Amino acid sequence: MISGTLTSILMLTFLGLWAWAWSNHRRADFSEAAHIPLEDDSRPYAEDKP
Amino acid sequence: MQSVETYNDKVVRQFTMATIFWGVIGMLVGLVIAAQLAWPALNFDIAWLSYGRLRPLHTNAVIFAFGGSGLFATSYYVVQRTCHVRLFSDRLAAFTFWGWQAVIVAAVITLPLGLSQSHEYAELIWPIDLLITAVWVTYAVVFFMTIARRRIRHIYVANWFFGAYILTIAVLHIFNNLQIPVSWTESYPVYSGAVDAMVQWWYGHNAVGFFLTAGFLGIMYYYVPKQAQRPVYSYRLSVVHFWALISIYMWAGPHHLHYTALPDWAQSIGMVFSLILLAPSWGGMINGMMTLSGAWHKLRTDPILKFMIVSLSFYGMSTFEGPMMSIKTVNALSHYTDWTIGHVHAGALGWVAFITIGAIYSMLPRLYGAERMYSIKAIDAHFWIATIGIVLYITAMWIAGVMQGLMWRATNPDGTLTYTFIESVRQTYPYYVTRFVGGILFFSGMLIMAWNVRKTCQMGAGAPLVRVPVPAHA
Repeated sequence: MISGTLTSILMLTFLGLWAWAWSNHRRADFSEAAHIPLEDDSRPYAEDKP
Repeated sequence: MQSVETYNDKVVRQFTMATIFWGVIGMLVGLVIAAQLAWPALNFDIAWLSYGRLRPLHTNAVIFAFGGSGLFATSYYVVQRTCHVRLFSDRLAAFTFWGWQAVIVAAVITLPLGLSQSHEYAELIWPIDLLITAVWVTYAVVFFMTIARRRIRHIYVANWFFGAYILTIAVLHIFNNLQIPVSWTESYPVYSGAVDAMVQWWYGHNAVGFFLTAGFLGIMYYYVPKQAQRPVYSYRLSVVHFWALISIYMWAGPHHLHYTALPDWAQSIGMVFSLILLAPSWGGMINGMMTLSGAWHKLRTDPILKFMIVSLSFYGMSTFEGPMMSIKTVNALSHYTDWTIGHVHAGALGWVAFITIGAIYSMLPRLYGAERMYSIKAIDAHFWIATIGIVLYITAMWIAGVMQGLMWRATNPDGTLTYTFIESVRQTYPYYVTRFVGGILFFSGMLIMAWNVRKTCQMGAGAPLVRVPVPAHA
């Protein structure tokens, strides 16, 4: 009984995670996040001096 | 001008150099013990040089000194770049560097002296364990405080992996090293018997799962997109990948204790969770590889990407092999044989070392103000020499392992064993020599890298100060 309940809860949590990750309103946020590593992150400090 | 915030790249540079240095040392020790297995006289009958003492030195040096320094370097680099903020507290960050180096030096002294807790990958004696704890807690403070002060709302997925690795290693290290000291160098574990074994492999397997996997997946999720100049294939998949991987890994440890005094049901749980683990592992591998979809041509010209993509192939290979070996009937053949050693090195050399090497090649020019690495050809040579070395190593160990397993289980019609143990050892010698040759190749690759890094540093404009970007909306 307990193990069955626990398994169901974990399974639902897992499916919920999929649903959340694939839901439409996460799309913009995720796309923004995915681009973080692509920024130019190594401009030397000196080049930014006016 | 003083108010302009720059990244703390000093500690990243220090850890990067430590990674290369300890990589060379750790792999050299590996080469020595590989040679000792092929030619046992090479221990010269000196206790300090005996296999039993040098082997933990090799594993500690490559895992914690090479891999550990690599993780410190990359996590400090990534967390700053993806959070747009300077690393929290220069002093604490410096303490993690010098503290970690002190731990390694202490290991280099105590292990050859034969001082050990006799727990695999947790050999270091209790005073060193306390220093590790202090360094690790400081690491957690520096990392999580940096995240807390981030200027970007979203916490990039690489940081989730780094965070999980830092937290879990703290828990594992503390609970597996609960010991009662009886002198400055000796102690007894608080657990006994099968419980001690279970705690040890809960620790041991999660050291694989969180130190050697989650941490390096953090590297993968930043440096592969960076080097390919494309966002990760599926960010959504990376979220599912993260939660699935960390919730399942924790339970796979018992597969190290098949057919031992551990209760049978616990062994079965370990096996089942190991099998399930294939799914998130391959999800992550596919996510990394497919990041290159539409840009596969870059592999032709960029040996750094080759390192990364081949590391993911080895990751996929060893995360298929691992679950297979955790099946009890397969384990009955593979356990205690050199197949295990081959499996570990497919992961350690192919995945962990390759992704680290790729990340260093990618990051090092930026850290030293150079346009690119001094010699791209040398990177390519390093890639091929190292790849051939790994292939030689793991095929030799596969053949040796299966052969040993078959010889040990062979029985005569009257029930007696067909072979004595020493006969299987004799038959293994050619494979030990082949493995040694593979090791020489991999080690030579590291020397090429060390040379290339030195040249790049000389070529570069010195250590640039890189400013933290100003928020776009400010």
